[in-house]
Amino acid sequence: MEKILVLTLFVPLVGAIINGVFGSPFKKYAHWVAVPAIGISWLGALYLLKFVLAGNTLLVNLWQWIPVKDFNVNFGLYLDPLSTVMIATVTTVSFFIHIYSIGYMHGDPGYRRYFSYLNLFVFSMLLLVLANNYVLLFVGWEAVGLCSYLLIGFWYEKKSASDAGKKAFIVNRIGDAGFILGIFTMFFTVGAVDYRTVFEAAPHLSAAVVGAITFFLFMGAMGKSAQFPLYVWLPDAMEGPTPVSALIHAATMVTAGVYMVARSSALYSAHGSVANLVAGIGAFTAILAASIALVNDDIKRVLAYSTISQLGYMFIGVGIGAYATGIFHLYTHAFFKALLFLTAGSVMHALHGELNMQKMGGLFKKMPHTGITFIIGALALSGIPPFAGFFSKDAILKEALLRGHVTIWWIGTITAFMTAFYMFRLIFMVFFGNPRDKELYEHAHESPAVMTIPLWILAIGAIVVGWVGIGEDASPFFKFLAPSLHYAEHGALIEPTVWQEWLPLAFGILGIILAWSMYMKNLPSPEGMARTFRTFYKLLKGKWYVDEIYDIFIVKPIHFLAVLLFKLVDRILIDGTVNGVAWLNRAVGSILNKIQTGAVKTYMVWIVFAATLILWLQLLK
Amino acid sequence: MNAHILLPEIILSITAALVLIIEFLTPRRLQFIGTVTILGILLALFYDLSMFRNAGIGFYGMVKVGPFDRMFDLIFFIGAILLILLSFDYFVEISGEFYFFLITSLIGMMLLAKSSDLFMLFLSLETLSFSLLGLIGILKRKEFVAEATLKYFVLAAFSSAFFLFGIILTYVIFQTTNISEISNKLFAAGLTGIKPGIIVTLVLLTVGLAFKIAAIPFHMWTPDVYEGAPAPVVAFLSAGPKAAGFAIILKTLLSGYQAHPEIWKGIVTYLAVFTMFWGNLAALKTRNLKRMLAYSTIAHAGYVLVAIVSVNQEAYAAIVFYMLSYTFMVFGAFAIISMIGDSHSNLEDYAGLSRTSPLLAFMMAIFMISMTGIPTTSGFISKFYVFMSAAKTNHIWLVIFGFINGAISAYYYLRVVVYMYMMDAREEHAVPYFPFLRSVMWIAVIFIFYLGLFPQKVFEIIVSTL
Repeated sequence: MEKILVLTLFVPLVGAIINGVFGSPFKKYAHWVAVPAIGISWLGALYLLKFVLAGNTLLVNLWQWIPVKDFNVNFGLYLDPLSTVMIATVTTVSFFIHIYSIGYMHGDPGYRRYFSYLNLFVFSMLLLVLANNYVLLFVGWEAVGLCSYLLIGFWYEKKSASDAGKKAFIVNRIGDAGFILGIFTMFFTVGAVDYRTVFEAAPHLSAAVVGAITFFLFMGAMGKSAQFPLYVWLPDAMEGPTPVSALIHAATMVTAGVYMVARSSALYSAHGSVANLVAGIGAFTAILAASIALVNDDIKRVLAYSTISQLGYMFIGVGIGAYATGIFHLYTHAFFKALLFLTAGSVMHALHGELNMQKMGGLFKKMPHTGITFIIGALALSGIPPFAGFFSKDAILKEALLRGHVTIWWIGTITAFMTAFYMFRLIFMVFFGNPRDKELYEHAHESPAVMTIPLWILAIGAIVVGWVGIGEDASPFFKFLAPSLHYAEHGALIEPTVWQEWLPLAFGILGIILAWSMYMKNLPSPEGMARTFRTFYKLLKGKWYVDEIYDIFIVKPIHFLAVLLFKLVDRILIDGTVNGVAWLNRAVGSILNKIQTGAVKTYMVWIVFAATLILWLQLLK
Repeated sequence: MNAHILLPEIILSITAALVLIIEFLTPRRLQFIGTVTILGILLALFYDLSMFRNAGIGFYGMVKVGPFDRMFDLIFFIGAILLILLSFDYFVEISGEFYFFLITSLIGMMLLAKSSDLFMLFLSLETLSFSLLGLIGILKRKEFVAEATLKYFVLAAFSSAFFLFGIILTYVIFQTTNISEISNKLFAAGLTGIKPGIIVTLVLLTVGLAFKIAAIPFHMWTPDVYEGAPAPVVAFLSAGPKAAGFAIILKTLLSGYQAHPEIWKGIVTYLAVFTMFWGNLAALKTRNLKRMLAYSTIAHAGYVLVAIVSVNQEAYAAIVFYMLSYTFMVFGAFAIISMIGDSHSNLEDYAGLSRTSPLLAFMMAIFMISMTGIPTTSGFISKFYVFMSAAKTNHIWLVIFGFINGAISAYYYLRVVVYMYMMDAREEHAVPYFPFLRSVMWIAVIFIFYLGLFPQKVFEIIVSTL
């Protein structure tokens, strides 16, 4: 079994190396390496799932990695229900996205590079979820980040793409700095970084220590999982190829933060206030991102904001202590959001890369497969039964209510309304009504089977995967996960009333109806609404001007400071004295002057000055 | 006299003479002379390893050899061999003196690590400095080379003067220049009455040493020399001589003044903090890769100084490990810089490298990632050991500063990756195939991952030499 685990993890890496290093003569056949590699990994994951379903767990220490006398980090893998759910989800979605990519990336000059990165990504993601300690988790964490930047900037000839890559990189550094601090706080206080020791020590740690660790770790999650205030990179990340957006920026990598919080449930449930912060940030992000999606006209950006919003839901789930619901939503979301992105990619493919919804319309007739699968995905996302999203979103909101977070429940419910509205606004604008751009419409065509078959498979997934979680704690999914998670003590549960149970669904249906009447019947007309709520509309259109605010309050000052520092230190202090001394040289006409480098003398003056200063400081003590 | 303990150095001296004779007989046959040099070094290495565990004092108390010093020899040898490999592809027409200077600088470094007397230290230091001048200035007709050489010469002489004054003052205070005798006297008599004198001495010695390891504010030569000197020589400068610098600091501060760490710890702490911050902040703004690595090498010296502040065995081992891993990183990076070309070392020249030469871009990315200190690379492990030793001795603030600096440095290291992978090349030109430069690149990558994934073995060996 250990061999299968190692195989599952490393085969994608082998695929990446084969394509990356040796693949240049077989450029066009890169998928013959990449797809089987993921296929093997997928089968391995399913086999492992069967093994874990039988009640087993597996801890494999491949080797001692960083040995110090009383402290040890192993290169170790840990297979338990939580990591099994993750690897099964990741490999399944990856496999179909790989197949889809064969059609989507066909003929791209970077075909081989693309598959090499994609394989590398899957390896990194598996490493992230299989690690048995925080340092190894961090390795995967950084590696998925690296693949993500590379794939966002995949078409680096496009300036917007390379800018987006850089933005993702810089924003994530902020979060990662926090993550490292978290690991080090853990190391200093617990003296270990492997899950088992840390979780066993968690109840004995002081509140301040646990608070610091969990807060810092959550900073990392905010960056990676695009939560407020670090969410700004994800919408721009849509510059990458669409299958990448589906795999990395919707289904898998961005959920790493949720996984990490759930994995650290022993820590998060030991300290209430940080957990509340997690839930609060999640709720705020959910509604903020959903509100921006209401008016956006870029088909991929709408889905990106929707991803941010859904990640917010997941953080509500893990923040309020209902870890299993967060993971459940992560798992269903991976299927229907990957599906939505791939269908959006199919639309783009048909329209030669067009993303603006204002130019689309009536496409359903031209591309029925894409249309139907998209609607399935949208119904799942909007939380309509019996589609997957209904069960998971409902579970989170219900848990919020049970644990007395009424405000969060209201925010989540209103967000559910917004979600249904913007998804069906998108559907009505893209697939129904009259074509807005005749020429684009004329050339539109259904995608090849290599793309539509994965769509259908994922669509079936978007319908059925939620069923394993019906009935929540009593359901097979929740029972399976339970041993991996640690639950916080909580007060008496407040049973929701009937209307509270059904309100989110009602709101979802209302959202669909409103979108239908606005965009199909023009009642009330979208333009009229925009005029009536002009200020609000402008705010939403401007995405609450968060990017601009960051630019003014963070980017500009830092840039200014860096330039100032550079000028001050390099120009004025060093060059200035250089020039000054050079002038002095000319005046005195010394021998050294013939060497023509005034700088040397300045440097010497500096040395004397510094030596004197140090001496003075030392003697003063 | 116990001459055999310096057998490796003696072999190298003979090789140096041989190299000069060969150069005189058949001038400018680079690969031949280089091979002779490598053979000499390998022979010296063989004797060094065969005597690895033998400790001894020789040459009338001037040198004291132990396994720990021989560990440093290993780093110097690796640096020298990698430099020779780089030189085969890099230099087209230089005189064989290059290898002579290389060997003499190697001897200088080895003796530095083994001197047990301040005068011996000074002599080896000067041997090293003068040989390095020969290496830096080897391409005398090239732009900036004269400037770089001259700057190094004048400033090295200047800082040596400080060091010499420090030695003289030491003699005045202790009536001896032997490090272990100083140590004994300090243990026996304590500081009463001589404290101000010792502080002055230490400051003077520190200035001389800080110059060698390019600690702030004695670093000014570094960016200019790095930009002007040939890339392989720069790599050598940041590996060998820097390790030698740390070896002397360990000798003078840790053994000589071991009894009273409080009198020098303050100075080194200041140096460490300023060196880390200044190096990293200055690197942020540079757009020339060689200059950027110059500031980065300053910053790395700052990290190692952190280990010196925490006076314990683990710190010793951490320093050796750090310099070993840094040697591979810096040689790898400069091997690629040599391939792209010295005069094309601006960030813009690396734009789009992932498309023109994907392998080189990928390797460069690994070197940058390792320098940033991301896990699975040796850069992470070495930083980890350093900060671990600081943390264990309760220098929490130094660790925190180290982290802030790690975050800052990530920006400029990974900017190189961003340029290679996300920018469009201004003009695409194919990089020629250089077998020796590539071999250095591969060696570097292999060791970076070996030390990054399986550090245990090497670390155990280092610890066993303490």
